[in-house]
Amino acid sequence: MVVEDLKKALGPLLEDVRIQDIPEGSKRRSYQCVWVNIRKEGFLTAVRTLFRYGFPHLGILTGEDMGEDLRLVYIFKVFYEEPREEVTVVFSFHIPKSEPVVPSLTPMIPGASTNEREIREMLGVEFRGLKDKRHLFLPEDWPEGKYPWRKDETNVEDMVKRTR
Amino acid sequence: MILEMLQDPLVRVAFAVLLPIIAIFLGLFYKGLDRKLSARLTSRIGPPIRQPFRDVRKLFLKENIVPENSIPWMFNAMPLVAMATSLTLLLYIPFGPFPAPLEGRGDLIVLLYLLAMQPLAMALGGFASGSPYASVGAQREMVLMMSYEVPLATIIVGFAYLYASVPAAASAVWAPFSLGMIAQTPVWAVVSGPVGIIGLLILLGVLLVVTPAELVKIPFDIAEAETEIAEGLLAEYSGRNLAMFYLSDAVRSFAMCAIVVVLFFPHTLSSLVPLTAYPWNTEPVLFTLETLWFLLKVFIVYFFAVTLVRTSFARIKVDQAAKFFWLHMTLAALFGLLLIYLDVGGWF
Amino acid sequence: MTTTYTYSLPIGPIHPALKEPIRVVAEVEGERVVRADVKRGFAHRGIEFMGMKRNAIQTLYLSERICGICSISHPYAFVKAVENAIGMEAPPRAQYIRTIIAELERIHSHILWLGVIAHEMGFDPLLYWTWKGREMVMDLLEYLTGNRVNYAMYMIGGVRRDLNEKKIRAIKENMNYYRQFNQEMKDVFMSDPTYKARTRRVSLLTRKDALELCAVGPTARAAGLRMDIRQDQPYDAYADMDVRAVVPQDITGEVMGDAYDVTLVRLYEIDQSIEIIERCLEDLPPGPILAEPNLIKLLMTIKRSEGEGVGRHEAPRGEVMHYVRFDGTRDGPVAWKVKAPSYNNINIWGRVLVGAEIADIPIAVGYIDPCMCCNDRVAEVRRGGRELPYEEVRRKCREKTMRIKREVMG
Repeated sequence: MVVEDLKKALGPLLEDVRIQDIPEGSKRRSYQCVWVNIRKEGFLTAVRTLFRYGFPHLGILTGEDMGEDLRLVYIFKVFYEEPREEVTVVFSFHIPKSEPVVPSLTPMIPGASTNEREIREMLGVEFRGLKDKRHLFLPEDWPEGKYPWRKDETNVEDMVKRTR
Repeated sequence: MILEMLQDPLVRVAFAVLLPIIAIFLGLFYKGLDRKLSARLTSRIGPPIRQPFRDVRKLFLKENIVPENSIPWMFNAMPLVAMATSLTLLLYIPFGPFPAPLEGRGDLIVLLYLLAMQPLAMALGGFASGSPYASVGAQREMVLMMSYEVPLATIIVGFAYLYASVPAAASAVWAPFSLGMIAQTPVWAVVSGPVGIIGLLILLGVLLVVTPAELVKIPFDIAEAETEIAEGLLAEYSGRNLAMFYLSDAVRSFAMCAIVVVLFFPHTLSSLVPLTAYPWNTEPVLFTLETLWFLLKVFIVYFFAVTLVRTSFARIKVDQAAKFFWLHMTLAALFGLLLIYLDVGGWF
Repeated sequence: MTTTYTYSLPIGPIHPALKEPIRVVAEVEGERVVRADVKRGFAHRGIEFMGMKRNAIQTLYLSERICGICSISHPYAFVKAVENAIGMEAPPRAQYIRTIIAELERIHSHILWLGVIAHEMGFDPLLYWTWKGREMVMDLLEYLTGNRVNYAMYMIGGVRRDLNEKKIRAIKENMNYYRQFNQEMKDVFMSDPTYKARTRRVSLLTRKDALELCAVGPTARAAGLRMDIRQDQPYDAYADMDVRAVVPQDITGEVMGDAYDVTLVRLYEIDQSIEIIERCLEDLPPGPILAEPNLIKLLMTIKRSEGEGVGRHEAPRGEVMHYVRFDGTRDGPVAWKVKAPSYNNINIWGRVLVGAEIADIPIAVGYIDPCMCCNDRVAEVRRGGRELPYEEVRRKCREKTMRIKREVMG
């Protein structure tokens, strides 16, 4: 159901979908994990689609420096509160390093602020609409424009001094 | 013979000097007992009984830090004020068979003021230390003090009323507000009927509830709440100053329990057991026995009003405490007072 | 008209109410908190980065060191994530043993919380009593796994130690003890007037707030949310039984979402854990305990596989979620992201503390059972901007040991 809805809502913005069935226990009853690769333009639409099934729970927001560009991974879960019904939905998309901007989820999910602040300070992704732009884990006087999760090997010396 | 000796001004002064030293020792000893018993009640081994003495010794050795944004003279003076008032308080309490050194120079009302002085000194010290924790603690202390003083005052009024009703001829020196007087004439004998007894029992209950609040012990250690405001009032105190507060607390705990004993259980051992019937009834032996009996009574009150209470309750919030004292305790105390009024008035 | 002014009361990074470093700055007006702000990151250790430099099995042990209390939650989520990524399945017996260990940990963690919250409100005797009761399960865990904490029990594709008859009997005896002890705890916590006075209507969390702020675990359940991974997406032995989320509406009939409800949820979850463990022991299937006993082969499988996986576990404090990605070039994760329950649950402080009293702060803070080392995972030990080489660290350790030895021996 989730996959059909997502396909309909996203259209060409959806790159590919993979449904992973994970069997558990001695009776091997399985649950589903849906891996969705999308284009960054379709991200908000995709999250809005999830809101059809109730308030989605944001599990993880993580990012990775892939060299050429940045990859963001959002893990949601829907249909919780129902025994054995829950589905994990993973959205992943690439954003260019030259313009690392994505819309913020905080208007819809205020709790996403923590996750976005972490990704912002660690990976340098700018979240459009994020109100609280202070550092989360890094010290307040961390230098601007230096991101620990980037793999560019620049400014490492400076960062080491700062973490002393 | 001993009593006659105490009439001598010189002996009296020596007694007044000696008593505080004994009281400091006893206060620390009772604190040690309290800690040990509390530990045993919670299936711990607990510190040795001489631990409070070691604590004080260590604190006196430690550096005395005065915070930068404090008011130094006030910050340093308040521990001394607290210590002085605690010791003065003690001089008004008849110590077992011995009369109080300041007997006749003050009465219950002075006692009430002296009891209020020490928390006040602590609160001022808290405000003077210029730390948010201490300020919050001081505010809480003030609120708490205003709450428990009313029931406490009501109890004192009840006593005064009761003793004032006794015909003056009953004693040579008649002072209805004097503690020595109360110690000589047990209050239970003064009331005339069951109604008065019930009234007194209510007042006793209220006094026992006020005791932990007066002594800033759980559940009323709101001003020093460790997990909330990091010892509050005492947050900035260290070294000698902290030791002074520690000592004054120990002395006051002893004094407060002694007050409860004097007010409600002044019965001497000889009035319960015919001691004179035994052959060894020389005066020193009798005095020793009476002193031990007094210390035992204080210890029992200490155990029930402080140790047992602090091991069986959680700390309550300041608004809950204020409500509890203003509403429940004040009403209870007033009801007790009413019963005593009815008793004295001969309505029953 | 009196003017009211506020001042800020810093709670932390070091404060008696906090067991681990974090800072809550509360704007206070008299006794009321008007605004609260949280600064995290005092225990940030860069564990995720360290994991990305090690192989998967080393990372597994590293993940065990993320948290000092729930030492099985992170390995659990990590092994699930790796198994999902490489398509491996643990044998049934291993799945059951995992569940048993996880539930034993829930028992000890919940009792720990009950003690801590009692301490926060100045009820130390209760702390001593609950922690005395907790020792039994700690001893049992030591007997089963060899350690009181950091059990080193899980392995990718199974568990490392089997349960024999003697151990099963020990667990059963222990469960009988805890059934009785939990009944006593319920009596104490639910009938004590001061406990109730300090927790009722303290740190109220509504269902809506819990959803919006992504609360998880007992915190979310206390707000009436029937959210429990063991129920929603059962894994391992939970998939063979019907676990139901423990929510206050089933216990008392109403949801307040306050600290008292959290206590109820935790107390009843201990009962639930005992039931689950006993079910597991009854149905414990025979068979091997490792899908791939040869660890070198296992690492080669990981090295050859490409893919990503999400692993989740309902830890005592809530949902632990791990994300790993393997790219087929190295035998460890190239991307590893850890999300601990406190990461989400600390979000609620900003909301529940507003309007609270100062006296409520420790309870509101303790209420979610915060675990800072879980929350701040990711900085390496450097002194003077220089990383200490391993040899030097070892030399220093030896020196210290020798020094202590000399001092002790005289």
